[in-house]
Amino acid sequence: MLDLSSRFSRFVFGAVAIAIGLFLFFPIYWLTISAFKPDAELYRIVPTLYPHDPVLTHFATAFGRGNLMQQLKNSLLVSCSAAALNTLLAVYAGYSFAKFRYRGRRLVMVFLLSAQVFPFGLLLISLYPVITDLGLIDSLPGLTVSYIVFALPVSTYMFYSYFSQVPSEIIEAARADGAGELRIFHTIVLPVSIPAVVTVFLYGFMWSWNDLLYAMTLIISEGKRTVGPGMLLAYLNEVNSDWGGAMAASLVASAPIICTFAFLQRWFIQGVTAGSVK
Amino acid sequence: MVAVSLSNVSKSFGKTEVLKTINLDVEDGEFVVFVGPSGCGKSTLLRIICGLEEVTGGTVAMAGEVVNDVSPADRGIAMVFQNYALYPHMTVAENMGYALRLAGVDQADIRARVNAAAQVLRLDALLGRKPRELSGGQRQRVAIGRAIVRDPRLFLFDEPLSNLDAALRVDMRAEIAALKERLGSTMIYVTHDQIEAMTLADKIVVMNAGHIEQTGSPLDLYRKPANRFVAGFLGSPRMNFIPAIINATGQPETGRGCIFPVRADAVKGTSVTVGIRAEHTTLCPPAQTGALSGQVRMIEHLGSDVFVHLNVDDVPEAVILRVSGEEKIGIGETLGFVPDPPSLHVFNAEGLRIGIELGARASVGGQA
Repeated sequence: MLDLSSRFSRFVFGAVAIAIGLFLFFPIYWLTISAFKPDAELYRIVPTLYPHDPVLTHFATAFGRGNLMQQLKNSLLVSCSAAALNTLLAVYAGYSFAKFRYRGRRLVMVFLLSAQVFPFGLLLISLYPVITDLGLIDSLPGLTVSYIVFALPVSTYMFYSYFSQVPSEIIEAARADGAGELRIFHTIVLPVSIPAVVTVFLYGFMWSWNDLLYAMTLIISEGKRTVGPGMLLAYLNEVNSDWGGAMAASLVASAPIICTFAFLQRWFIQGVTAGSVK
Repeated sequence: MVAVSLSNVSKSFGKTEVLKTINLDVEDGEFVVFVGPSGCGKSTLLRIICGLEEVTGGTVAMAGEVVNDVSPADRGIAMVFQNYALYPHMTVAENMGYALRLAGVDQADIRARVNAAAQVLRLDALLGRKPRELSGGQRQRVAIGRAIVRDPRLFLFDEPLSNLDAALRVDMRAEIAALKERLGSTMIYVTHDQIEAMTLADKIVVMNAGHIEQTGSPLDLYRKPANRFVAGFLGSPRMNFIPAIINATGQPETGRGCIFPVRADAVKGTSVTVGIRAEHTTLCPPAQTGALSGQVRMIEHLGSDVFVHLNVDDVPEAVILRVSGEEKIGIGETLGFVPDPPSLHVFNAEGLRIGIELGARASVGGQA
């Protein structure tokens, strides 16, 4: 039986958790209901808490106007490529840092992580001429590379943290069993690191999908736009502010990431907590 | 089976020297136990033999061949790790057969060898399970099974029972002893548990601070420890150490005038330490000639035996006596005891064993 102070503590913790949940969920709720509200209801001085007269016209606008499908396709291509390549590079780098001892290892790690100290926008200033010189400006591969540059240090560190907690004995046992280093990594370490792989993949994917600044700066052509800048420029520009259309397009644009997260969240959560109990 | 020879093996991690000039021969088919306190270098030495660590100096030879540059897999050894080190995503059968698969053994043969090892270790019913579905004892048996199926020349055990509870440890110790009889392979076993060392070993290697203190059979080490460290490390409870000085007749004498009935190979006035094991004492009246005495401060009842902890004057640590479980003893009581002369040990100021001669008479003494 819980005593009074314990019950009070539980109540307070529960209330705080619910408040945070509501606070975080509210924008999603507002986005969703706004997408279904007709313009008249959308622009009322006193907003309604749910669509009194739900309509699908904004969705028709979203799919009819601009290049939403093309932008979704571009976003998916860039996000999946960036997430996959970032995971591929980070997984080897993180393993190397965590499980091998060699001269300069710590220094390289410090260099790698120091990139994170600089603001996101500042890195773009130095990245822009590089991307231009490489002939990758206004190209999806250029955008992909820029996302990898930014996500790689944290991703490497995430893998480093995870692999540091993989018991060295199972690696040594595999060595004694006759496995080479690559085989050990691929057949022993990687299969037990699925949560970390999923976590890093999701990190890279969400990072790329949600970006606006890099995509707006490095992509110029309409046909190569990703969904973020595409929506912004189509619905909320100097001459136009179609909130209903923007909300409907945002809802559609959010679908892939929600689906990806829902599909992978079981491993994602495990990945986040895996190190705490091992 | 294989003989292992270590010559002048040393190992440093940066500036820290963890092993200092180790020389050791392990005979073909011998069960050797490395024992010592935490940090003494015993696990590092085992890992060097396995090939998981490189030596800083010296050579490791197997069957007369230097293997310093031979990979772990090519040394023909199998190692059982302290925390089992099972591959968590593989079933018991896959864990046991992994090394064979890497070696290119065909599936039917792998299955046969895994089944045979599983039968020996009573793992038949568990072959399809993952490690997380097993108890600690079962996991340890899988780890041993993984070693057995490879039919190695040499088994290495790194504190394999330290993660098990006391009852299971006794069972597994018996299983390892049976395994040793059945396989007859050369085995090197690391532990800090001296009971494991005493019960399993053909030969014990006592290590301390990166060097070997003494090597020998369990009973040799128990009966004739080369120095105070070995004397104190082997035996449970630990050996009692009583400070004394060699008197004119060559006998150790305590500050309170209690004279031990042996002659030590040392000159008059030499400070020595007399070692007496708890089981080599007999209770007597405190005032008896040659008796040591002290006040009871703690009593440990183990059923058949009782360990009595005494505060004895001039002795820094409590003196522990083993007495019959039938004895009625109370805290605060003054007890007298005499040591069993043939079982006395005398160590010089450097802690090294000094030869003793029996036949001297215990003299009238006060309290120690």
